[in-house]
Amino acid sequence: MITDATLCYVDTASKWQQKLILKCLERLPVDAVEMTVPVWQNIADMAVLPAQKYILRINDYEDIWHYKGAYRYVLTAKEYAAAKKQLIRQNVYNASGKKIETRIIGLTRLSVLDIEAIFTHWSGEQKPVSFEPFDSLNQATALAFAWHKRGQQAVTSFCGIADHAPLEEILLAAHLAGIVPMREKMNFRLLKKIVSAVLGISIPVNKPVIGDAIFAVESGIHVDGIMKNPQLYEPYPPEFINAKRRIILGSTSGRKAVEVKLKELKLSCRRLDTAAILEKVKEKSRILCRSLTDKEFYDLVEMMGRV
Amino acid sequence: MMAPYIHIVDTTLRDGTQSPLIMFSDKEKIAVAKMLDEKGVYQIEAGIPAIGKSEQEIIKKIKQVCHNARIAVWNRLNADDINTSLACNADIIHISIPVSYRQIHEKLKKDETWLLQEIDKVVYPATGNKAEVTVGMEDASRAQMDFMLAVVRKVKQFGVGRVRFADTVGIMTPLAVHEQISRLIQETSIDIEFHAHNDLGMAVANSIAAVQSGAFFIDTTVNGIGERCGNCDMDKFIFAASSIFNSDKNERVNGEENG
Repeated sequence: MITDATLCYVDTASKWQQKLILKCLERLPVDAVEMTVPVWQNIADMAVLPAQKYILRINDYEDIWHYKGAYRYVLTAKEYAAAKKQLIRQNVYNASGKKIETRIIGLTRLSVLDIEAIFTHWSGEQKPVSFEPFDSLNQATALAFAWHKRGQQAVTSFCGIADHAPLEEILLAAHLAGIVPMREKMNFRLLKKIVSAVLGISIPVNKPVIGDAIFAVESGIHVDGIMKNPQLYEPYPPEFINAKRRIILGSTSGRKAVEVKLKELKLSCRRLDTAAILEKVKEKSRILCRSLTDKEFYDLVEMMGRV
Repeated sequence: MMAPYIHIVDTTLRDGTQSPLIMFSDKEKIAVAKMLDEKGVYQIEAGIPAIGKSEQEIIKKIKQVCHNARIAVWNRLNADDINTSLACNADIIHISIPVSYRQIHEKLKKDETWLLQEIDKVVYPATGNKAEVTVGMEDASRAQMDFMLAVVRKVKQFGVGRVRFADTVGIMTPLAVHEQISRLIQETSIDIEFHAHNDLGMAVANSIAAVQSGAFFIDTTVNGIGERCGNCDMDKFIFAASSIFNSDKNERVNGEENG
């Protein structure tokens, strides 16, 4: 089970952007959406509130009565700042104000292998435990996924904002493990656009699942393998996340990549072998100290007089 | 818990440069190698000699300027590749062997029997040289354990002391890493080097799990560059490993008594 807390960290977004984020989350296999009171107030006037379980992050127990309509209320612990250094417990209440769950949030210095015994202890507690690990040691995805795999509630945020386990990584891991088989493709494009605009961040091109270049391939061995069967070097089909495979030509390319690119650009090179073109590609790539654009490749082949 | 001694095997100049958006000039490659050498990495995977003469030249220069790290070169399971590599004076000849059904049958268009015979033909002669030979099990995370054990036992007979377990498409989780690495070590006592990819954002966590399972050679790259989502980020791994292996394992949750 996944609770996504992206809306807890976009208070600066416009009302419209917050509503769009909520709509994007609605299309993903997320079990509950957590948000702060200001965001809850902003989305309240939506004509039709998406059918979700809403969890409200509150600072005071009395807020349960002030902001009615949520499924659960997480009372932010007074010692919240301590979560940057260690795990802390928070109480989770239902709409009647009854303590019904526990939230464990923060940074742990335990690895996934170390924490398994503690997970067993948490699983045995009377009240369900949701786990919101922080990512300072780059363990959050693995920790959240391990807890999620036990059928428990893990708390994420899109793109891992505010030091969380990235929602998209947990969804893909769960899909590949057969825990949450997706019937539909996942599309993170709009979510990515809004979140990067709101937070003023540039998402790295190699960011797992949502990076722009994760299906770009240059190396000769890999292009050759992918042309035989994409599964050889791809963990899942790019189409599954609405992405496309891109063959890039550069210093580590092989002949197969040249053949593929010629075909892709509808270029004919009957009188010139691909080995000669490849040599030119490598030479030019070394001079430019980067891979070639399609235009540069086109010009190169044209210059060799074989278009 | 006493922190384990971990050997960093840096592959920035091999797997890292396979990232399509990153390319180093020759000068930059030398500078990166020197910095890695000064930083104290155990091994630098300097490149793939089979790529061509310019790659071979740069590997030779890297070997000249690095005084501490062991210089390794990457090879396919191919005698010509290895002969080219031997001329580069590298300390380690690394031979990559596809071990998953997909890789053997669909990429190489061969079968397991052919592969084992090829190991006899290629790996055995390679071990007769001055350079150490290590073997990489490509796509190990999707391979059958029985076949991997057969490969490890065979190369061990030839004197190979370390094999690389490659999560080529980055689909592993720490528990799967633990299960596979522990079994390989338990059954063969060979040294394991773990090579992670970050497709699910678990490269660092998987590498930590590998160490905890007995793999004391960890592959990393500077800034985590590499194919698709990259490899295990060196700095992030070192930071995580130093925090995790030097921490109190009896960590308590604040507020536990009130839970």
